[in-house]
Amino acid sequence: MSSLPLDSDLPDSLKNRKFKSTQRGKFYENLVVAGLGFCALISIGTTIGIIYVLISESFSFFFDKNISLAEYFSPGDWEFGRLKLEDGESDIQIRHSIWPLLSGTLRITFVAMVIAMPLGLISAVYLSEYAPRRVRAILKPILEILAGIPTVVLGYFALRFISPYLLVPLGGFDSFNATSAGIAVGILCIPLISSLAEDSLQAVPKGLREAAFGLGGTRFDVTVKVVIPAAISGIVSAFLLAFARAVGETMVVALAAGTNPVMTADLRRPSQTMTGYIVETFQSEGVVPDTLPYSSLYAVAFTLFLLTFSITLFGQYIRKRYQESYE
Amino acid sequence: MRTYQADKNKQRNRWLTDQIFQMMCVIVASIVVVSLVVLISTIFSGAYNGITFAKSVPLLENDAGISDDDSITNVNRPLYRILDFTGPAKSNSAIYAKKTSESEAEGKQIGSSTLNNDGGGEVKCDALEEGIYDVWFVIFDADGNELQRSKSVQLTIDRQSPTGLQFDESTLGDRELNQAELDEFVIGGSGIEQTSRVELNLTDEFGNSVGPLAARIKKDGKWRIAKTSLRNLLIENGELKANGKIKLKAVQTDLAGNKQDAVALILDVNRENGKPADLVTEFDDDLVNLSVLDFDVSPPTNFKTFLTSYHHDNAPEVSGIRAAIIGSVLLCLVCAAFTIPIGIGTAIFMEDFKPKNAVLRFVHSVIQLNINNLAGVPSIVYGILGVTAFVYMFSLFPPAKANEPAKYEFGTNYYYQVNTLGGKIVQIPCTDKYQTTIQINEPIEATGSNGKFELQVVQSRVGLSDAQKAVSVKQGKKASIVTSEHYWFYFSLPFGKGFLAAGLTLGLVVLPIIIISSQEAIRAVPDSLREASAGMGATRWQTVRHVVLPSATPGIMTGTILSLSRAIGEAAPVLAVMGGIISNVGGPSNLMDNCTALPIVIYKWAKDASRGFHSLSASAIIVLLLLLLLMNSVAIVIRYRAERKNK
Repeated sequence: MSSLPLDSDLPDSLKNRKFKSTQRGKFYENLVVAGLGFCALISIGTTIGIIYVLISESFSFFFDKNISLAEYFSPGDWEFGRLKLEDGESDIQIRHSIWPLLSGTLRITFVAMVIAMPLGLISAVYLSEYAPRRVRAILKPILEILAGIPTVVLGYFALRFISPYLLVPLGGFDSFNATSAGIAVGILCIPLISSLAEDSLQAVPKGLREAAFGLGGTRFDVTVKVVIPAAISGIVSAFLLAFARAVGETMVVALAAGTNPVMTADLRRPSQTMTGYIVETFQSEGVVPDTLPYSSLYAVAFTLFLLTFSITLFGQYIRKRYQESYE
Repeated sequence: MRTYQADKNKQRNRWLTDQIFQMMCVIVASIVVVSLVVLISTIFSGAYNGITFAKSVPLLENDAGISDDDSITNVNRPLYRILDFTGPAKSNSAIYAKKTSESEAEGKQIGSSTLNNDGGGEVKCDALEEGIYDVWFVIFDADGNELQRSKSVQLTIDRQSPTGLQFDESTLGDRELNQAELDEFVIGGSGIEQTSRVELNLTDEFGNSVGPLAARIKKDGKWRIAKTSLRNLLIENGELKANGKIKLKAVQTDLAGNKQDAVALILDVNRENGKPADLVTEFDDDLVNLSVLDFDVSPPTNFKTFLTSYHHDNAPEVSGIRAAIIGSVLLCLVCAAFTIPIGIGTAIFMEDFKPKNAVLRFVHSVIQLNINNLAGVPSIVYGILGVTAFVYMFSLFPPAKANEPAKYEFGTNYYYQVNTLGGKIVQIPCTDKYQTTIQINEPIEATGSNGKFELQVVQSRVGLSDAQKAVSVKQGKKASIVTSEHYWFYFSLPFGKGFLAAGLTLGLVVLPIIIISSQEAIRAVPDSLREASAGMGATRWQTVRHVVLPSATPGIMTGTILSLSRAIGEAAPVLAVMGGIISNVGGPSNLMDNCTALPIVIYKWAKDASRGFHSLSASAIIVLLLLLLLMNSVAIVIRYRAERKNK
C-alpha cells in the first residue's frame, strides 16, 4: 500500500491518530455478539431445562412399578408423601389419580374467574369508555397497586379475613375452603384482565366509535355493540391469560385452600390444588431424589405446566388469529 | 303518532340501559377500590396488636425492688407466663385470678414459683375456663407474709380457634380394610403442643370402653399410634373383640393436665362368618368437636424486638424478622447479579442484532416467542427446575452420604476430635477427609484450648497427674472426623438447599420480565440516533455501547427495579428450593447456607396455630409492602428524572 500518505503529509488535525487494527476490532465485535447471543440462549435453555426436567422425572414416575398411567388419569384418590417411610413401614397405600388435585385447581380457578372476569372486564370498559379523567387517574394506580401486591399477602388476606369473617359466618364453610382462596385469586386476576382488556379496547380506532355515535347510538350501544366486538380477541386472550395465572397461582392456595385433596364440587370444603401439593410436599423432610413422592411432584408439575402452557399458547393464537386490524 | 311514542319509549329505554350500565361500572370500580382498602386495613388491624401498640402490662408497682417492666403474656397454649419480673431474691410469688363478673369472689391461686437468686423469675400458671378474668400477682417473703400485691390486669380467654388436635387426613375418609390391611393401618394426626400426650379412647356402640391407646406428640407436632397396637386391641386370638361401630376419640392432655376434646373417628367392625372381616373407617362429622384454648391477649413485643429478633417456636412475643430481612436482601442480590447482565444482554441481542439471514431470523423469532411464553410459566414450575438444576444439579455429582464429607467442595477444614483422659476435647489435624475415624497408637500433634501440643499415648491412667491426664489418651483410642466451621466462601457441588440456589431460581423467574422491560426501553430509543451513529462509522456494538445504552439506561433501570421487587415478594420458588426454613439466627454463614425470607416468614406465621404469630405475619407484610413501596418510588424517581432531562 504505497499510496498510504505518510504522517508528515497529513494535516495537523489528523496527525498522531491511534489506529486500531480492523481485524482486532472485528474479532472484538464478534466476541461481543457471541456473548450477547449466549445470553439470549439462556432463555431458550431455561425452557429446554424445564421441559427436560419435567419429562425425565415424570418418566421415572410413570414407569415405576407401583404406578399405572391409567390410574393417574382416571378418577380416584390422591395419597402421597403423607405416609412417610418411618420405622421401616412401607407405604403400601399409594393412590395416584390426578383428579382430586386437578379438580381442586379447577374449583379455585372457577371461583376466581367468576370474580375476575366480570369485574376485570367491566372496570376495563369503565376505564376506557366511561370514566372521567379524574376517576381514571385514581383507579389506574389502584389497579397497579393491586397488581403489585405479593401473592402471599393475598393468601394471608384469604386465610385470616375472607374465610373467618366473610364465609364461615355464612355457615357450612370449613375454615380452609376453596371459595376463600378463589376469591383472593380472583382479586389477583382483576388488574391483569382489566389492563390487558383496556389495552385492546383502546386499540379500537376512534373512527368506529364516532361512526356509531353518529348513527345515534348511546354510549352503551357503542360499547357493547361496536367496541367490545372489535376488541373481542384481546379480551378473550386476557381471560385466557388470567385463567393460566389462576391455575398456576401457588401461595394463596397453599395458605387458604387447605391440604386435603378431594374430588368434589363442594366449594365450601378444603381443596388442595396441584401447586398447593407441590409446595406442601417440598416442605416435608425426606423428599429426596429417587423416591416416589419426589418424582410425583414432577408428574404433577408436568400436568400443571402442560395446562398453563397450552392455555397461554391458545391465548396467543386467539389474539393473532382473530385480531381485527385497522390499518 | 303511535310510532313516534314507541320510538320515544325505545329511546328512553336505551337511555336507561346506558345509565344503568354506567352505574354498574361505577359500582364495579368501587368494589375494586374497596377490596384494596379492606385488604390494607385487614393487614393493619392484624398488625395493630402485634408491634405498634404492644400490650406490655405492668403488673407491679415500682417499689420494693420490683421493676415496672413486668409483663403478663401467653404463648398459645394453656399456660400463662409471667415473664421477666424482679423482687427480693429467693422470695415466693403466686398469681391469682378471679372472674371479673364475680366481683365479690375471692381470687383463686393459679400458679406459684420461687424467685431465683437474682430476684428474677417466671411463673407458669394453670389454664382457666373461658371467660374474662382479673389476674394479679403477689410476692411473699420466706415466712409467707405478703410483701406486695400488683394491680390486676384483665385477661380474656376465648376458645374458638379451630386448629389443634386432628387426625391425619390419610387416616380419615371412607375405607374398607381387610385383615391384612388392618395390620398396616396407621392412625396418626397432629396436635399443637409438643409436650402433650394423646390418648385414643375406643368405645363400642353401647358406650363400653374397648381400651385406650396412647401416643406422644412428637417434635413436629405429629402423633401416631403404632400400627400393631390397634390390631392387638381389636383382635384377640383371631377374633374381633367388638362388633359394630367403634368410636375412636382422641384426647390431648398437656403438662398442666388440661384435656382437649378432639376429633372422633368411627371404625365399622363387621363380623363375617365368625372371623374378622372388613374394617370400615368413616369420618363422622357430627363428632368433630374441637376446642383449643386460645387467648385474646396479643404478644407483648415491641417494634425493636420485632426488627432485631428472629423466629422462636411457640413464642411470638420474642420473635422477629431480622433473619428474614437479611435473607431477602441476600436473595435479591444473588438474583440481581445473575439476571441483570443476562437480561440486558438478551434484550440488546433481540433488539439491535436482528439477523438478516432467513434461518437466523427464524431462530430469533423463536427466542422472542419463547421469552413471552416463559413469562407465563407459573413460578412454582421454576421452583421445580431450581430444585433439579441447582439443588441436586441433575444428580451429576454424587450427593454426600450421611456422616461423610461432600466430594466437591472447598472452604472448609476437617479434623478428628477426641476426649483426653483429663476430659478435655482436643483436635487432631486431618489429612484425608474420606477416612472418617483414626486410631491413636502413637504420640500425635493435637490442638487443645491452650494451643498445639503433643498428644501422649498411655496404657493406663493409674498414677498420672492431672496435667498428664489432660494431654494423654489410652492406646488405641478412636477419634472421629468433625467438620470445622465453614469459611464464608465455602462452596460445594451440588449447591444444596442454600440461598445461592434459591437466588438463582428467583433469577430464572424474573429473567423474562427483565428482558421484556429492557427490550421496551431499548426499542424506545429513536432510530435516528442509531443511524447518526452508524453514519459516523461506528460498528453496531459501538452504537449500542455508546449511543443506545446510555439513553435507554433509565428505562432499563426502572424495569429492573420493578422486576426485582417482584422477586422479593415471590415465595413459591424459595419455598420449593429451601423448604420453608424460618429460623436462621444470624443469617447465612456461608455461600451454601440456607436462609429465610420475608415472604416465607409471612407464609409460615400466617399458617401457625398461634394468634400471636398471625399479627406478626401482618406486621411482616407491612414491612414487605414498605420495602416494595421504597423500590417502586426509586423506579418512579428515576423515570421522572429521565423524562425531565429529555424535555
